[in-house]
Amino acid sequence: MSGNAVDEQMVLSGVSVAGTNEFGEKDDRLHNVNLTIAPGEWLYLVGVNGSGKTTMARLLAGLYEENLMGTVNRGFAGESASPIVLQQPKAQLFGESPREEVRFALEWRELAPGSVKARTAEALEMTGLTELADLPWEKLSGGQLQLAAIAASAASRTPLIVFDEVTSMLDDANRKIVLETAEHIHRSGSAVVWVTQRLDELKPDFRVAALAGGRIIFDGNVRKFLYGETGHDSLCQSSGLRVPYLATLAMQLRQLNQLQDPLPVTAEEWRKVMGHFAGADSTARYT
Amino acid sequence: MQERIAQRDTPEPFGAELCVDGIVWYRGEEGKESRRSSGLRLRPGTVTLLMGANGAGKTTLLEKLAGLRPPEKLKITYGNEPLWVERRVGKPKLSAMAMRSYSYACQSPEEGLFSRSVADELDYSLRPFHLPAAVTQQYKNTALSSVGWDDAWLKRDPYLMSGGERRRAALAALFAAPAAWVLLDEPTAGLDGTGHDRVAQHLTKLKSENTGILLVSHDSDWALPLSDQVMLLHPDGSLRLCSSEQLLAHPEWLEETGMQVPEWLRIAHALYRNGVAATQLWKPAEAAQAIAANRGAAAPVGRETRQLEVIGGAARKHVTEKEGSSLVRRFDPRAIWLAYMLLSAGMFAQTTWIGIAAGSVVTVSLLVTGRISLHRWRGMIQSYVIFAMMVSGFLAIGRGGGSGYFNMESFLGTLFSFSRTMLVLLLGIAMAIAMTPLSLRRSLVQLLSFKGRMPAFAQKLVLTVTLMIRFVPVLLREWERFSRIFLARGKQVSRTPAASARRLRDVSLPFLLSLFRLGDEVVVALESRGVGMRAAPIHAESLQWRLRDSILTAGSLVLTAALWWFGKYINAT
Repeated sequence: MSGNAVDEQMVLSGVSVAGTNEFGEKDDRLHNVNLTIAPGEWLYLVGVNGSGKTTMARLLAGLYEENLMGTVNRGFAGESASPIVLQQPKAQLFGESPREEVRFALEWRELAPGSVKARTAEALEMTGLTELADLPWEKLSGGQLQLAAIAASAASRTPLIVFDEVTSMLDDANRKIVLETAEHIHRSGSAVVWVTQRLDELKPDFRVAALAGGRIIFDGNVRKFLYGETGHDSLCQSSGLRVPYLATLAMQLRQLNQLQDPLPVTAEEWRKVMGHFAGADSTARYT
Repeated sequence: MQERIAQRDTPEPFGAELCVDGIVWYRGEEGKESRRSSGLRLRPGTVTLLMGANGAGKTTLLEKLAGLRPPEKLKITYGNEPLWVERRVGKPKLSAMAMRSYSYACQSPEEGLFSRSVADELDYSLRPFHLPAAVTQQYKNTALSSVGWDDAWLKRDPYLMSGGERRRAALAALFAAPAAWVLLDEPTAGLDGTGHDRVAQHLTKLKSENTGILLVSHDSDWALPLSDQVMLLHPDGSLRLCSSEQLLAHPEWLEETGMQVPEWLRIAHALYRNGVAATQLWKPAEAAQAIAANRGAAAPVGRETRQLEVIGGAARKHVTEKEGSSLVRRFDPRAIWLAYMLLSAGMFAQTTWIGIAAGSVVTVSLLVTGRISLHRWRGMIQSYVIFAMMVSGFLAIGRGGGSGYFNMESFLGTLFSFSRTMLVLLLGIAMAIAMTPLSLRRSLVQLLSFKGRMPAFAQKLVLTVTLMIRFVPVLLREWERFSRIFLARGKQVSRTPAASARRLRDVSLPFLLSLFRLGDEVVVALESRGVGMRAAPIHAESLQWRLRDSILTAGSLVLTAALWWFGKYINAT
């Protein structure tokens, strides 16, 4: 590991992580992975359980060192570990309230004593927790607990932050808020790795890397990943993940020549094409 | 189904309704004015999807229906069999027969597995049903095929499997039980596409065999097309029962529960209003066909629409668990530490039973005035008392000398030390409950540092102590969770010592494994945030010693002195 320039890319080349399977046979958790992340980039990392995405997420956060082969140059992310937000709030909240949590996280970073208070307030503001900052965990919802963990992770303004399936136990409303908060952190300059199994979280024209069996099977544009190209099967099916309702519908409509590429992904794009099927009158109510 | 009924030799109400009284509910088309609190009936052979916002209490409701929590106001009946049987003395008791009416899978059910082979897990699920061996074999085969497995998997060890395979083993164990109802909490979270399809297929099969299914799932685009009806759980605990088609027509009902209408449902709703039938909309391929056929046709009128409102979610507050806040938190943690040390010394100074009694009075009154509830710890406290009695009894046997087989003096002597320790222990638990771990950490750091510096070993010690105390409630909740899984699967309603021993055995293994997983995640979370990176953390805020802290310390000093004097006085007389 060398190089520490803020504008240098993070590069994984020929990385394998050895592991063993049920029968004691050699079974790599990651196999010959090549991946590059640019400073300030947003990367979706998708794959089913056991595809190696958790190993990958920890590796990108700078935590995984055992049984590692190949080279990892963390570039802009620096030598020290990057914060990682996990699925279960219970494993990653150490304080008793959002404010205490953020303060605990900041105490371990090299900051001037005076700036901790201001930084704490800032992180709480960014996650929308200012008003709830002093409530105990029992009074917060699952989504708010995740926001507190995000606030604690984002408070130290690291160049990279990893979200490992943080929305898997959240309802749609909480999921949206958590996603928007991550996007806010991204806009403020941090690179974001968003690990998920739920393909309906993916936004088009972003980059997605799909893992299956420890290998990267796709690295490219989300729309291409979801829908493939005309005449070709969707690539997301080969990742083993469940294809969401709307993506299936879009591909079926394409097959019946009712829709042409580029197929819709976002709500706005769907609203536009819905005009064809449902008439302008009905779509107007949704905008 | 016919075959299934013929082979059953137990009288469980198969094909029975699930009746819930005591919950406020109304039907989809009705207004809130029609709310009633009795007569909610779920029919066998239907799939009901329970939806609600995070924290609305979906899991709690499911656990109540499974008898895993006190029912509070609910009266739950499977067929004609009430889940809780009133007794002349004591609390209501779970009905073993009603417990056999359902098979239940909690969130991440694979974490509750404890056997060393798939066959043992299936046997364990089938045991409460007391079936002949031949029938058992048939159920096992059906269960395996429901997750796409064959006999070869029976010998496999769940602990050596991958996460996805463990989930399949847990689902097979769930589907093995020949129960009239299947209750599922997020069965597909973390499953791949094929896994989703498999569960859907098996649920459809169970439905056709007249099994009732109640389902909680965040994957609404997977679950809603499977379901016949939906129960919408509001934050106030009331339910709206509607058909899946009604929800398609009225997605705004979801918003009334504090949820958001998922994007796919908005699109499906628009298509529905434009003439695509619900049955077609549930299957994207058929929906696409219908759209192609309808294209260009004028939109039918007459279907009522309502404006969807956007509800901001961040401001929503959920009170999931009420725990009274303790008065003790207002004091400086150092004062509490000092008070605890002093009082413990006072307790240990006692040498007579009257002194112990005085100590108990002090402890109880401190708990009451500090508003500290030890309710959740009652299990541990009970175990301690039983342990103390047993050890004291054991040590007293055969020590009789000349006065018989059992030496009372020796028994009381041992019990005395246990009692004294118990008082100190109770105060310790009270302190752990009453203080926030981080404030405890700050107080320890300030107590242990010299001229603003603290040796590295002391720092590690302090962090360890803090984390241990922080995770005590989490561990308690995990234990409770696995106890509930044990009850739901084993359906063991008796409380004999043998049953307790079985519970201890079958709960501890999954509990310990969950501790390892939790520990791993804690390390990842801490390390990734840079904890332990530097030698000494900066302290954002120093503690403030106020007048009330001095009063607390002085008060406990007086109490300790009083206890000490009392002990002396009793000895002298």
